[in-house]
Amino acid sequence: MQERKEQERKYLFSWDLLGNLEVGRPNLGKFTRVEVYRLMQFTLRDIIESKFGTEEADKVFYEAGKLAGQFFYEHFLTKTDDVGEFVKMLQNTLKEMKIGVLRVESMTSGAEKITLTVDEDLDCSGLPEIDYETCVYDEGFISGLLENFTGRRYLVKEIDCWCTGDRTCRFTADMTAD
Amino acid sequence: MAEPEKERQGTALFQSSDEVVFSAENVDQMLKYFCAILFAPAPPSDVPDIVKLNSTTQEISNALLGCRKALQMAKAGDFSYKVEFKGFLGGALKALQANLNHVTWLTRRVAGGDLDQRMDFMGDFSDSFNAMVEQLTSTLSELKHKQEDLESLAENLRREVEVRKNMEERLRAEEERWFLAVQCSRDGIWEIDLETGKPPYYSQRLLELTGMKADNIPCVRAWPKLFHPDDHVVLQLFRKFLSNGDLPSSFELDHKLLCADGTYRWFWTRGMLLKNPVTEKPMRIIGVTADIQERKEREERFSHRATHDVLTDLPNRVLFDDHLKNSVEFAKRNGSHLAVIMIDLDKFKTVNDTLGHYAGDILLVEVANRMQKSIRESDLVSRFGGDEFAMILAFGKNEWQSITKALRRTIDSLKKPISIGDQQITISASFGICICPEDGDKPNQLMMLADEALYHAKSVGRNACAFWKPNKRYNVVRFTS
Ligand SMILES: [Zn+2]
Repeated sequence: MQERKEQERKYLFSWDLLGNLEVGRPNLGKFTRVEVYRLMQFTLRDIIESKFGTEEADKVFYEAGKLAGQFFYEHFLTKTDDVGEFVKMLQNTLKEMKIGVLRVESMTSGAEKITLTVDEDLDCSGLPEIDYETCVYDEGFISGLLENFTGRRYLVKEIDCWCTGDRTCRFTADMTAD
Repeated sequence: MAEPEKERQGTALFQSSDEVVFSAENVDQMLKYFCAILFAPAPPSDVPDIVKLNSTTQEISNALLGCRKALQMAKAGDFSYKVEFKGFLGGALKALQANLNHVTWLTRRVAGGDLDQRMDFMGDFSDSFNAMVEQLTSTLSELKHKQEDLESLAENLRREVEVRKNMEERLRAEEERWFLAVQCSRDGIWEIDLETGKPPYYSQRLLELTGMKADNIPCVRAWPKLFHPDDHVVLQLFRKFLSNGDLPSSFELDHKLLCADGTYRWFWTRGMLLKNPVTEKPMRIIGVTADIQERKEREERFSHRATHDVLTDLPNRVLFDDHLKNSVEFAKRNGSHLAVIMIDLDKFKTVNDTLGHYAGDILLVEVANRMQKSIRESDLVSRFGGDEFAMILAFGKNEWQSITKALRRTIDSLKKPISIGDQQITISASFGICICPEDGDKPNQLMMLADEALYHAKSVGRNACAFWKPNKRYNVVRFTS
C-alpha cells in the first residue's frame, strides 16, 4: 500500500479525536461492551482483507496497534526508567481498563527478549477455536508500548493464542537492530 | 455387498478413516500402550502399529506423551517443555507453564529488591505470594530502620573514635612538648598530685638547683622546714594550704630555700592549682622554681648603693629620711622619744686645703667608722655629704641618760687623733640637737630645728653641742679640746 503524506491526510490520529467523554457521555460513562469493540475490529478486518488481502490486513492491524500503544503509553502511563515499575504500572492500567491480565514470564536483564502472557484478552479470549493466532493488533500494541518505554524497536509475535486452543495469549518481544 | 461381520463391527466401532483394521487384539495392544504412558514408571518404547497407522490415535498418543514429558519436567522445576498439541489439555498445560514462569520471574524481581510486584488472579497462590511480599516489605522496612539506627550508631562511634584519636594525638604532642620544655628549662619544675597522694614530681633541673636528691626531699607536709623562718609570706601561704587545702588558683613569690649544702638560697616560684572542672576539688599543683640568688644579690647591691654613701658606706640622706619618718611614727605610737642630731666637722675645709682631698676622704671614713661604733645598732648615723653628718637616736621615756651617753661616746671617739700618712690630725665637731616629740613631731620640722641648733653651736665657736629650745634659748654645752 502507498503511504500518504501527512498534509494529504484526512484521518491523521490525535488524542483529541477520542473526544471529551465526561461531557459527551455524562450518563453512559466511559465503558462499552467487549462485543462492540470486537464487532468494530473484526468487521473492519473483514473489509480490509477483502479489499487488500490478508497480509496487508495484518500489517494494517499491527501498525494500528503500535500507534495505539504509543499513544496509550503517552497518556496513561508515567515515564520511568525502571523496568519493574513499568511492568507494574502497565499491569495495573491494563487491569483497571479491563484490557487483559498481563503477566511477565521472562525478561533478559536489558529487556532485549521478553516473554509475556495476556489472560482474558480483550481481542481474543472466548473466541471460537480457529487455527491461526488472531491478536495482531495486540502484537502491535505491545511493541508500541515497549518502544516508548525503552526507546528501542521491537518485533512482537503472538506464539500461543486463545484462538488456537491455548486459552491464553502468549507473546515474545525481541528488540531489533534499529 | 455384505462385509464380514467382524470387520463391519470394527469399522462401526471406530469409524476410522485411515482404513486400519481394528481387531480385539490390536485394540487391546493400543489400550495397554496408552495405559503404560499414563501409569508406567517409564514410557513404553515400542509403539504398536495400530497407534502409528491412525492419525487420531497418533494425536492421542502425542498428547499423552507430551503431557507426561511436560509434567515430568515441571516436577523438576523446568517449565520450558514446548507443548505442541492444541486443545483444552494443551492450553491448560501452557497456562500452567506460563503461570509458573511468571511466578519465577516475579520471585526473581522480588528477590532483586522490587517489592512493588504483586500477583493477580491466581487464587490462594496470589494471596499467599502477595502476603509474603508485603510481609517481606514490612520486615525489610523494619530492618532498614534498624540498619539506619545501626549506621547512625556506627557513625557516632566512628566520630567518637576520631575525636578520641585526635585528642590522643594532641595529648601525645602536648606530652612531648611538656617533656622537652621540662628538659630544656633552666628552671625546676614540680608537681604535687592532690588526688592520689603519689609522691611529688621533681624535675632533674630542680634537684640540680637545690642540690637535693629526690628521695631526700621531705614530704610535702614537712616542706615548711625548707623555707626560711623569716619568709612569713611563703610560710603563711603554705601553712594555710596544709591546714585546709586553701590555695589561690595561682601564686608567685620570691623566697629562700634551704639547699642540700645547708645554705639558704633565693628562689622564685610560680605555682598553679588545677581543679577538677566538675567537682571543683583541687587535683594538683604544678610549679616552676627558678634560682634567683644572683639577681637578689645584685638587687641588694644596687639598693645598698642607692641608700648609702659611697665613700663612708654610711646610710645616705635617702635612707636617713626614710628612717626618720619611720622613727617618728614609732615614737608617736609608743610614747618614746628620739633625738635628731645634725653634725658638722669643724674646720674640715682646712684639712682638704692643706692635706689634699685624699687625706680629707681618709679622715671622713675614719670619722664615719668612729661615729658608727659609738651608736647602738638600732640608731642611725648618716653622711649627708661633705663634712655634714646626722644621727637619729631613739630612747625610751626614762632614758634621757642614754642620749647623753651616746653623744658622749661620739664626742670622745672623735677626740682621739687620726693618722693620715705620717701625720696625726685631731678634729672636733659641732652638734645641733632637737628632741621628738617635745620640740616637734614632723620630720621636716625636726630637721630644721636641729639645723638651727647646729648653726647656733657653730656660732658660739664650734666644738659645742646646742640643744634646741624655743625662743632661741638654746642649751649649749661646750667641749674642751
Ligand atoms: Zn490471542
